[in-house]
Amino acid sequence: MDKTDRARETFEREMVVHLDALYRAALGMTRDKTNAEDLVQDTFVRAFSFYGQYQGGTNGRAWLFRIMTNLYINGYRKKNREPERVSYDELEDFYLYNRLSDAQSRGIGAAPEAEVVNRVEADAIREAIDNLPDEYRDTVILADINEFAYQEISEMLEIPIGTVRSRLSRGRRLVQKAIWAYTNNNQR
Amino acid sequence: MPRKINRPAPSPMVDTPEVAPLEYNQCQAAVKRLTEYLSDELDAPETEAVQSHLSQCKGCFAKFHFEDTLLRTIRAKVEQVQAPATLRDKILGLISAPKI
Repeated sequence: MDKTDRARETFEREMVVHLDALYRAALGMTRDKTNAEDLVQDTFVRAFSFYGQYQGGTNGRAWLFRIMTNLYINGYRKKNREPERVSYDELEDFYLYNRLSDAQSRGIGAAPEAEVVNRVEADAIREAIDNLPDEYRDTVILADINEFAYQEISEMLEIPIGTVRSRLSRGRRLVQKAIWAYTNNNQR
Repeated sequence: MPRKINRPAPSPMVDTPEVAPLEYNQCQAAVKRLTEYLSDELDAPETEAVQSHLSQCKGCFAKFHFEDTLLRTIRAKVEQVQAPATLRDKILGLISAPKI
């Protein structure tokens, strides 16, 4: 086995294992299966050609995500930029909790936690994330779905940590608002 | 019998009770840290301060617990999605090609 074969084998073992996580994030960012597949494919091709620069033993998942967010922000998003679809109204803290508590007190639902765990469907969550404006969506996907630290997200998206925090705070509220709207339209 | 022996006499200018605003401020201080608390981004003393408040305040505990459960639920449901097998094959094919 020559050096190139060994590199391929290590790449497959250390990098391709993160394929599902990258695909999910790409799907969330691009909101389109074909674009998500293209983005992930480009990410792996680029990662493989720069694999010599990757320092083994460091965080491979974060390295791949950095490549992917870079490709996405500088390529895919610019090409496919859409107008924002979510209103910028100020949203209260605990938006969904308050709505569900209110519904429960009116006798049309169970306790907020039980409602969320048992009744909020994957489709509602997908739609809630899909409908976030780009900058909030990226931050929510990286922080809440993939559990990257604010510092890592700040480097990936090239924004200050304070901006990561504020986008996440607002993004989470917008997700809750969308989940509530979806739940109301489909279940009640 | 007084609760505290050396407690200073309240100022005649201040007629609002002490406990209510203090409790409100504690809730407010905890809620201000909600985003980072859920992301595990607070340092140890701040995490401890939030947790100490949550152990004493039923209202905040229920809300924080709800937010945490919601996040876990969202993560678990999103994680059910897998990359298509064709994409995996395509990528493996590309990195196995002599030159990409």
